Amino acid sequence: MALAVLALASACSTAGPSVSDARIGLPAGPNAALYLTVVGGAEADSLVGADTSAARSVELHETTMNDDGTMGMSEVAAVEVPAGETVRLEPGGFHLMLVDVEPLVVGDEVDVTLTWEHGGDMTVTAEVVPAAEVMGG
Amino acid sequence: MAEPARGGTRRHWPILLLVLALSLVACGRDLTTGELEGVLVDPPSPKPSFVLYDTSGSPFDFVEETRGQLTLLYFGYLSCPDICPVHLAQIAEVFDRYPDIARETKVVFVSVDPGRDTPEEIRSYLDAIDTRFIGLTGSQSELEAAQDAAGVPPATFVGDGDDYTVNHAAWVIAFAPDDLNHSIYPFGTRQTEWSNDLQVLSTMGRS
Repeated sequence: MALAVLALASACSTAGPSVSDARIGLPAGPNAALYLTVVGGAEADSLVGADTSAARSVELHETTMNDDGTMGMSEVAAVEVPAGETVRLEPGGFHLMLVDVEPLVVGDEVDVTLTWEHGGDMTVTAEVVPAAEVMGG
Repeated sequence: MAEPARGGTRRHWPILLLVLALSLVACGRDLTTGELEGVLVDPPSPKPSFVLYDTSGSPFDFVEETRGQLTLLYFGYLSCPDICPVHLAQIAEVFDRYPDIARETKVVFVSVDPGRDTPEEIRSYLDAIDTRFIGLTGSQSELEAAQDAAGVPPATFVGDGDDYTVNHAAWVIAFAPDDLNHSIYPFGTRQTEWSNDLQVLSTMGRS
């Protein structure tokens, strides 16, 4: 029985996407951006929502460049993660916006629940890092 | 046979390090390519003429207040979590590495979101990034005039209520001490590029 549960658990962990490098740039204003790396599992899935007790709400955003060269961000319904592929939520692309985030300091750890279209809820811990570090130099 | 050779190499290390350290000191700051790595503005353009208000409410005449100084001009807004704080923090990080350049550079952040960003909030936002940065605001029409003078597309607002977002020019406009704009820096500019270009720009227009 225990073996069966273990086998099931390990099957589940490889079927869906896995998340690493979750980090929040230390915010200066009311909102913060959370970045992370997703590696798709055996089956494609889509990130469709997120929530945390550390913010009023969490929105999936994409930053895009407009025709006139200005940049803006818009809310998206989902971030698709194809099977086996790596998708990075990174500055200038996708991010999770923590709206009206609570005061944070570098080193804080924030639990965020990610909701997947097929995989359901997954809780990840994001570390607060200096804003100058989110781009990697 | 290998033992004496290794010993010899070890003995030379302190001398090599000393020579390296001395050559860095002789260069003054750090090694640069001597060339700008940002997006070049050709021909270089003059400083835009506009007057806005700083976070203490005093009028700030951009040309007068920054004359003869390395100046970085950026238009953004406080609710922006992705582009603005990262772009500004990259500069602040390089300032920490080059205090002499930080001392002679003015970073001017113009909030293009007068509907939400108060002078007090702009000050506390910038203080969280770098207390040396100057924050400006004004009326919607004054801000549009400043963006027009600076040659950037005016910011536009998308969405309703308090949760609207702002499309804005996300590049930093750099003016050397000769008061000319030689280069701009789109979002994504690396700290190594800033390190190089701030050093190159700081010498332009100096005899």
